[in-house]
Amino acid sequence: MSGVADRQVIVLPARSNGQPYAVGQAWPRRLRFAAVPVLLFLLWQTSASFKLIPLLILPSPLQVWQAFLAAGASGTLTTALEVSLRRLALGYVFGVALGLPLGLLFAISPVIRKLIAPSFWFIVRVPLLAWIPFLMVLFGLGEALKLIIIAKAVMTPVTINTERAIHGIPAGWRELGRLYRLSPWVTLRRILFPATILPVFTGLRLGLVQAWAVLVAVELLASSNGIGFQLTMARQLFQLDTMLALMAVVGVIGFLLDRVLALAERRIGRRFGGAV
Amino acid sequence: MTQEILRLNAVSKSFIVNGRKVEALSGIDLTLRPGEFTALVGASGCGKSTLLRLIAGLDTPDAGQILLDGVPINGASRSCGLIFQDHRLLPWLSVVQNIELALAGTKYAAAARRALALASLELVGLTDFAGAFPRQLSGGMAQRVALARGFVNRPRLLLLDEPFSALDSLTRARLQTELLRIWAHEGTSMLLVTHDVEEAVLLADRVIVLAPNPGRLNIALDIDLPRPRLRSSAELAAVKAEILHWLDDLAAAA
Repeated sequence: MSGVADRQVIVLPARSNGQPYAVGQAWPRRLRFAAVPVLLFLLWQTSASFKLIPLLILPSPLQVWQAFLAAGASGTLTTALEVSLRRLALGYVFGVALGLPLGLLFAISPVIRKLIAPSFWFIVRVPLLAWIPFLMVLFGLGEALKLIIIAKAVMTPVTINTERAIHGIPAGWRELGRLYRLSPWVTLRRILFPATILPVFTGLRLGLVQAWAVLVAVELLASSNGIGFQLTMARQLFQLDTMLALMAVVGVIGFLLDRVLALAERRIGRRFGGAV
Repeated sequence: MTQEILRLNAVSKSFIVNGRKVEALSGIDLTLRPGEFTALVGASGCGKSTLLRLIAGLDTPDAGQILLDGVPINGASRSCGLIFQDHRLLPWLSVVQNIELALAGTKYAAAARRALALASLELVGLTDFAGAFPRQLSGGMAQRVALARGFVNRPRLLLLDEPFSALDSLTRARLQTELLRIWAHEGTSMLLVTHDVEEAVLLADRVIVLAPNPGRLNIALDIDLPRPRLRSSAELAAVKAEILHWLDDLAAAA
């Protein structure tokens, strides 16, 4: 028999859009994202089943799931989340309230920019985690410390993106306002605001994601409640199943915060499209 | 005084470029008659656009005087419109809203603004696209909307800053014809800046040549060819050749 006749010929079913599968595309495109997570999960389960890593160090998926349910049932998880999310919201509001005007001032006043921007950049360049010891000495371990840290994390991208957004308004668009003798209010409403909303919103989204990451970090280091504190507690009590469950919760919340704002961002992009 | 819509007396303008003073325009004297279509040609960098911006009131001259209808200009004015090289439509406003923006500084009520904008849109034949957004338009259509926006204020004088230079040649030809039709209909005085000599000869009653470094008026040429003019006519080609020759001499002298 010749080699050609032996070769198996597989006719792939047509895809919903009528196009045949391309060669090497055994996974439908929309399921591809799942390949690596499924592989990792299988590795994890295998490790647990054969105890490749002791279960005390790396508990099985089932143990983690049960720890998650237990934490949820006992109320520790919801209480911790409530504390953390309230902190996040408050710190976020502070950060935005500082970042928006600061970015605006940087953009419109060269004097203020010259005065403040170098200090701003110095503060930004020292990583947040390096600020924590100093701020702990200054403000103690109370709520103020956490709010300042979160606010700083939010303020940075909000300020930078706001300034950039205003600088990014094409001169030709601003000129329309002068050409048609529009009042400052109409110019703001019809030209300046729509031209900047998308990049400003990007700053708001980045700020929220960073705020969440930083919040968990500061709770790990200096807190007596919140989800970050529960994480440290779980490690100290060597409840690694609980610890992993909390980690997953932190990840999922961060992911959702980003998703929701990214969706809103895309909507704004469609509405004010081409603005950037 | 009624025989001129625009008068420039010894207008000069310079800019600071890299710490060095560069004279963009020097001693410009110019008079435009009402209803006339004037074209301003010259090599790039000879200050054509600067001159338009001064007349539009977006910049102020260092010396000299600009009178619109006998009155010194003071900032932008609704009796003087300006069409840019790019359409400058705002992407978040629909076509009709973009045109209404030119009326947003007026005392017209919203309904009146809408009516005026739609009438202007009809002038350029795009009534069906009133609700469309700029990204849905072709380059030629977008520039027609910009024309409609330029005409919506019924300006006495319309300045056009190379309005067709970013378009492909077929679209450009169509829009040139369109512009002549609207001009005949509205009777607006036009001042067109272009580096396309053929465009100038095809459209204008008078072509003014600007010499570079610093920008100054060189010659003014009345184009007496009867309308409608044919792009392919020998007379038009002869005038075009004459102006091109002039520009070559200027370039050689520079």
